[in-house]
Amino acid sequence: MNEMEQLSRFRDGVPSGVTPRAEQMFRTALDNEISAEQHVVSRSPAGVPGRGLAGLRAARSSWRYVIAIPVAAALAAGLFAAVQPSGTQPMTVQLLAGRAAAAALTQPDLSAGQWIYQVLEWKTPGPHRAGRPDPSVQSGWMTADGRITYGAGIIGNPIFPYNKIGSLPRDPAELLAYFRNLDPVKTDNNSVVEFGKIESMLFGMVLPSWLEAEMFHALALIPMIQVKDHITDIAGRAGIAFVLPETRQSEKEEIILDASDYHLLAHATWDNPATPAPDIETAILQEYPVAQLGSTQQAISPPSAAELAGEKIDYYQQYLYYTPKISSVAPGQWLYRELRTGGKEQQIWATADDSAQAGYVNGTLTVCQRTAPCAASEQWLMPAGPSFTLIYPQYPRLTQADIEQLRKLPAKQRMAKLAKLAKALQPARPLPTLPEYPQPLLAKLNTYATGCTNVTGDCNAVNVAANVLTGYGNYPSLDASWFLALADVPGAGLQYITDAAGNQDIEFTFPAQDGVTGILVNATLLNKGDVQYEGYIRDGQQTLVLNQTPVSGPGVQPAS
Amino acid sequence: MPPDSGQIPRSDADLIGCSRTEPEEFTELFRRHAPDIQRYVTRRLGSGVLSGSGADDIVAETFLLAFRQRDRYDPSRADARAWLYGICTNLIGRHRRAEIRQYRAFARTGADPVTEPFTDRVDDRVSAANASPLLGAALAGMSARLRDTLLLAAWSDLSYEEIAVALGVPVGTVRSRLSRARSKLRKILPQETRS
Repeated sequence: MNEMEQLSRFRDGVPSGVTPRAEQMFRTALDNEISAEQHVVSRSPAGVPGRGLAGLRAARSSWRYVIAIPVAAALAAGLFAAVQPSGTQPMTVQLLAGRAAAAALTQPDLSAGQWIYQVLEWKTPGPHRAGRPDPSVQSGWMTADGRITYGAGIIGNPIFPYNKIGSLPRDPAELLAYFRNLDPVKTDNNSVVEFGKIESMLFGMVLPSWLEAEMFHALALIPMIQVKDHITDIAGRAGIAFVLPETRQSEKEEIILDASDYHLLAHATWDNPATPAPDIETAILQEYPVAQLGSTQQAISPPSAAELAGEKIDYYQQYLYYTPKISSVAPGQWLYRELRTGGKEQQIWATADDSAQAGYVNGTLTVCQRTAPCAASEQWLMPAGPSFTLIYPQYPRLTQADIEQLRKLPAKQRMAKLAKLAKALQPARPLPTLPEYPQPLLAKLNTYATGCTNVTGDCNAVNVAANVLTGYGNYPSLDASWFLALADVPGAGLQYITDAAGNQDIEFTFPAQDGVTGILVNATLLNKGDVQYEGYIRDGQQTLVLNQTPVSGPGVQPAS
Repeated sequence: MPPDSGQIPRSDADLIGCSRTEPEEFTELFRRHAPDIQRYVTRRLGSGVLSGSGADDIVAETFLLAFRQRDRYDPSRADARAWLYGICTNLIGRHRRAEIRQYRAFARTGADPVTEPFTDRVDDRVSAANASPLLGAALAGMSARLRDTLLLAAWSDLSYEEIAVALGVPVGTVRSRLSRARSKLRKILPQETRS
């Protein structure tokens, strides 16, 4: 099977068909459009602005997706930017590099986990472009090292590990050589590789000032680079650009700097170098450090140790290719757990959604349903918290009977039948779930009553997090922002401990008076890029999860 | 109404031409092509769990943008798919992060987050969608331009010439991008025995 066949198989899991929602959105938008056209004497080629889909969009379920600010306002702001000449001296690549490097050196140095707020404006290409700008504005947050981006992140991949930055050569020619050697696919055009790496590091992360300065000096050493003066970026700001002309290996690209103070404005790419306007341009409208994810108030606040650990966990959960030990269990799946609380070990069986629990009482296995009277006296692992289905929305699945029926069909009919079944199953709107964003998540978790008499230090939220991490089975796939939320608990700290089972852990510490004061994550594994929750600390006593394995029913021991 | 409505199947270009004066005709274009466009968008961005029903928005927006630009459609192109895939690919480009995220999720867990709402775990095998998770890693690690070209070639059934129209680049660029993308894939994917 070659790679194109593999790709084609990959697609075949998705049936062809329109969702009712998409069709409804299109029809309503079309009706709006048609009625608007009938009221406009001569239709502008760009259509009728201000109508159409925008008004139809309900609030998005995912804040990470798009946080739009009015495009018109941003454009208006751009129009007032004064156009200043870039000086009377003829601009050369070296001169521009020198000025840009000098400007870079005036910037403060930030730590790797510092949150940066960004407002970006985009223009994307199209066969229909014909000189018509198609910009959209998005805002979002990223960490200075570019590892974590929310909202308007331009680049999803980590571009260069921040902890290696210190060891980069402090000489522009050596820097270029270093970048050339990074390229796994040996391209025969080094200029393209070097330019690409510099561009992605300049725009995908916030570099220490010395490195940003070296980057500009390095650009000037790339043989093909040219300077283009007296240009404007998509936001209408006067700029001057480093230009990589089109080559056999690449399209024409520009790194645009502000014409007066030489800070980074935008980068642009042409598919066809003959057209005056670029096909893709991303302009940085605003970019500044903020105290935390979600804030738009300018502030430099070095991240706490807990925040750095939270970000590290977030990063590993989102981007690394580790396989969770338990992935995607069904709500009714029985899980075997070995817990250790203060030297005492306990074997407990519970369903993933905690609807039933079982254990040995005086040598007899007793199963207790949550709804049964015995539940009142049972020591529930999950005394309070969001339901399993709220954390892991249960989208309907095909029944076993459906699958058997599909199996019997010839391959061609199978896809059509599957599409039909899937369409019938798909809910009209996404199922309810918890907020993704750390602060709203924390606020929501605080609404569960976990018996805290003193709710300072987000006592309830921390208890809920410990309950969920211990109780709901597939903790590795919990949305990463849980740990970012924990790191945002007022007074949260971090320390390294050796737990009662002998593991090296990091402990998120919390100031709760009568709740969980510590949440343990395995430090050895974390250093290898794996996230494993080990347990929690309450009343000075550790509760550790020694083993957690899906089994076929209560009382069943996992196969060793 | 045009004289040939009803009996003779009309080309996309005819439909688009008619829709200049009879806007309602445009819904026929939606009926014809939206199912495949939705499939393409859903495969790239996910259906809802990951992207907040973003696929629906993009499908609707693709046809709305097309409608607004119908005056400028080149009537010599009977088949409108290249035009529609081009618009839709540009819109997908704005959600690169969501796309990369789902490929990574697939690479990490081996469970395809996109097909999950449509299938059951067991059913993954039935629907023959058991692609290698490494594919997710490969797609996530590719530049957007290579990925656009590769996925149009693999999933849209467009010819190289049509992909060139869709992406607004010369056909030579499509060929060279495709060969670069495929060689990147070959480097990552284990090569099964070729028959």
